[in-house]
Amino acid sequence: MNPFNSSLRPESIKLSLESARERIFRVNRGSSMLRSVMDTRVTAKVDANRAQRQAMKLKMAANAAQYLPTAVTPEVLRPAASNFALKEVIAQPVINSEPSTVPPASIDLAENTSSYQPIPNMLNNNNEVTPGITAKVIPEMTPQRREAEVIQLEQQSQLAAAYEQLATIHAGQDVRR
Amino acid sequence: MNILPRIIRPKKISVDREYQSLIREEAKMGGTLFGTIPAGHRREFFCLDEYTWVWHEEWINALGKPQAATTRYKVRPGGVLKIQGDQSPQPLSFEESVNLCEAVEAYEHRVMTMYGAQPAYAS
Repeated sequence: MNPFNSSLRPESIKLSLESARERIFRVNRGSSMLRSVMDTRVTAKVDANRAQRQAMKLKMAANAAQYLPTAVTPEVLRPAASNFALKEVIAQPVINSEPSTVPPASIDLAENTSSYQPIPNMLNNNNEVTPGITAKVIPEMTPQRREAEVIQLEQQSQLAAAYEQLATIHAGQDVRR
Repeated sequence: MNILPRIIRPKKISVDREYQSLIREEAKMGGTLFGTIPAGHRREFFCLDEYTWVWHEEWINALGKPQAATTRYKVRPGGVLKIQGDQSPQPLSFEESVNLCEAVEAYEHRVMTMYGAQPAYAS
């Protein structure tokens, strides 16, 4: 007989309540007795585990709430800090105008270069002056060193590209604001 | 002729059956506390009385023969003893004690929810 069946007769329900009350008493007492005889270290560990589970539950609830639809964008179910969201939301700039052929008037190249004095070591037509760069000892370029330099240059170029992309994204954000 | 036992006895039997059926329901629920039950296994965990917790598992072995294992955890003033089959009682290890305590807490919480009572430990 299923004691949880709603179609029980009244006297059976009364019996179920009595039995249930008895079971509640036994289980409560059994649980508290077990805790009382357990070592302090065991109960401390059990309590710590329970607290950890509780914290995890709260964290999961907070995470779930973050993904809930909001009033502003009910159809978007993604975290606001996601890169995917930025890529989709930010409008890409469209260049429609033709590039101008007129040089900017504010920059006078002649004036700016008039004070330019080349340093002696960089003159190629003067044979008497020994280029300063030859005075330095250039280490021999081994294949390993060359490979390392290539890798370093590649990393620098990748870094520069990433920085440029980031700057573009920030510029797009500023335009959007 | 005293007819009182004839009147009382059926009710007593009925109460006992009710009580046992409640334990069976609890045992089924208790078996689910330890994660997914493997296919072909039947697992039960329940509070027999305030001093005894029982873990019972049945399964079919590789030869197709039914196997069963019953472990009783006896709560004594000096600690908890584990009794498996005909073996002599063994004290619980630290890890097993922690697991038993957590299982009993979860069991109590589920049982209280089952009967509509307030659980002692909020999990």
